[in-house]
Amino acid sequence: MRKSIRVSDAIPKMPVSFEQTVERTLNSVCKEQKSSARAKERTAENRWVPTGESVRTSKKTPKIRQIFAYCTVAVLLVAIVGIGAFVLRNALYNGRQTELSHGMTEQTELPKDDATLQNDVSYYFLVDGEPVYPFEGFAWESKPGLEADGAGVRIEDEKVRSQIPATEYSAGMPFAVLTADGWKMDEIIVFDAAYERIADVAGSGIPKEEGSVYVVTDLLNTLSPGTYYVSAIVSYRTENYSRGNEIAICLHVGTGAGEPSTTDAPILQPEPSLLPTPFASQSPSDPSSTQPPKDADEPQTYVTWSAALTGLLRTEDPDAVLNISIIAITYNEEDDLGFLYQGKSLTEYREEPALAAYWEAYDLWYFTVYPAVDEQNRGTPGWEKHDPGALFDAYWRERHTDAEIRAYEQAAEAYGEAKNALRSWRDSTAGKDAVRAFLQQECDRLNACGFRLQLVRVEDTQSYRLDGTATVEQLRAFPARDVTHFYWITLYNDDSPIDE
Amino acid sequence: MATIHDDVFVSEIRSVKRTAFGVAFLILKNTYDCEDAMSAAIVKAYEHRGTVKQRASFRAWFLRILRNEAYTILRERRKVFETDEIPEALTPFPDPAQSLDLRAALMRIPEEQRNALYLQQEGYSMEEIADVLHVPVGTVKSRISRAKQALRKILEEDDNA
Repeated sequence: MRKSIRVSDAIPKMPVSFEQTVERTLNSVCKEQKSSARAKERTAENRWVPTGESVRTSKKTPKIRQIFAYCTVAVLLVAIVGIGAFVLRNALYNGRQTELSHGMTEQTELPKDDATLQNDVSYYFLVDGEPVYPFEGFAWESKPGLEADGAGVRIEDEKVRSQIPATEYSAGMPFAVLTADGWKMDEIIVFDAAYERIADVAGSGIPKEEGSVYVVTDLLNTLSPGTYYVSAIVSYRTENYSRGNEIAICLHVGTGAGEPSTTDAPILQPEPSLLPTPFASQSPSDPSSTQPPKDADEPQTYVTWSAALTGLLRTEDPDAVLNISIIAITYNEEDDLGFLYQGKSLTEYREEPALAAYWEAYDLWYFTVYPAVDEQNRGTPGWEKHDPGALFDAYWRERHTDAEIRAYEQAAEAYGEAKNALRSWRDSTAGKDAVRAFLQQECDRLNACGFRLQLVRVEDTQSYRLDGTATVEQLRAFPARDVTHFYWITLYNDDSPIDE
Repeated sequence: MATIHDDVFVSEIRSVKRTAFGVAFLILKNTYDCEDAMSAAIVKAYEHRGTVKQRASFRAWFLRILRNEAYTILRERRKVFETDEIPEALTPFPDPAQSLDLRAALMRIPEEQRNALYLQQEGYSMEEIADVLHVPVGTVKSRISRAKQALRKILEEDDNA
């Protein structure tokens, strides 16, 4: 008999495709909001239709529609078991003597009453086994972030304090964070001297070794001499902090690789680049620029480079040939695979005016009318079993004519049938053949651009990847199929991709 | 708060995504639909981020939206075919040796119970879970208790069998 039951043991590991969906969606919605006044108009005009599909905009927003339309299925996924070990081993052998410089730390979402911050250092580094407190003598700045010329927060709660992870930095290990119980690594970001983001690894993309050591990879060893900054975002959760509940500590560490620096990390935060587009969207003559396009309508390529590959692309000769593996490419089941149901695309079914109007009204209701209703009825017997969708449906029907209701029902039924047809098609032989054909087509197209790739079936899975070689220059100007396809590219060594 | 800055929004979503996957999976049981629900929930949350009262409540607010999206997808799916079967997972389990049994057992108890238990084990407070599930705190506690009892019973029966 089991001693304890962990629900998470019964949930599959969060797939990479899910993370990509999150990042792509975040990137799209944030860019859409920022882009211009035109974006506001679009947002107002094109309310999203919550139908369960990844694509939720009307024909009036072709760009965003395309972005969302690209289904969230990552085609080529490779298990990364053992890669963390490889990365760590690599780091140990390839270490370069480096020194710490300055940085800053910030803490957000502090627990209100359970802990206090003091100008003390409990976040420390291990250099050759010795603890180093590099950032003493800092002063907290005003909100929104507590920024300082130094690292370290002290939390009075001894239980929490004793569990703050140590950040280890030494010649043999470029950068690692030893996590303790209750802590998790959310994100690791590496900035160059200009404080521009050159690598960003989040969530489960962060390699893990022996269950407790996270390693940024050997990226730092591949960098040319200069000053770099590493930001490690860790968070801690405990029931002690039921109000703030989560402490997120963002530790910015200056790491002068081969060139000791005393330069403080700039306070200014760069614009978030949710999907790193380090090379393909920029001029080859300006490889240091990593800023994403300012406007959502500007061309941009959705490419994620592994950190090690990013480092090589920045330092290697343009003609150098690298072994690469494209482990994920996204596709659209309508445009790329040609899925149609009774001659119509899913988008056409979804954007049927009667259905779109219904879901637009639902959105409005859910965020304006419903919260008050929910608040009033909380605690009423049986309320927990209520279905907001059913409540809205009754609300909506009371306010519409029989003809409008019939039009909606017909559109909803047709859309439901189309979605279920797609669901079945995904698992059918025809669907799988279509995926393979698309990937072969993509492989051929890249080879026509000078790449030397072949489509490889990942052993014991239904997945594929593209393995082969390409020059640094070809990778810098990666010829994405169009602006809405998403690629995940990594180095390839010893018959397996190095996924970081 | 008046509105949530993009950076904060992104950070909050990233911090909750793993739990979000679990919440969606416990309802939808397949990763394709989880991705759809998550994408939909992010878009909706972003559009309405100004309605969050305070940042501390963002996670629960977002998970409530996600859960609603998951049920929307479930309703649409059931319009055409009803099924109680447990689809095969598309990705590996943390511990394949025992998780299939555990998963089968989990799917035999009500979704409200399994998600309450899951969120508790993920470190969510009773108040947050209550907010996600639209129930009073007392109900959350009783659901978690019932979930544990039911799971133990199911697994013990399986072990004996």
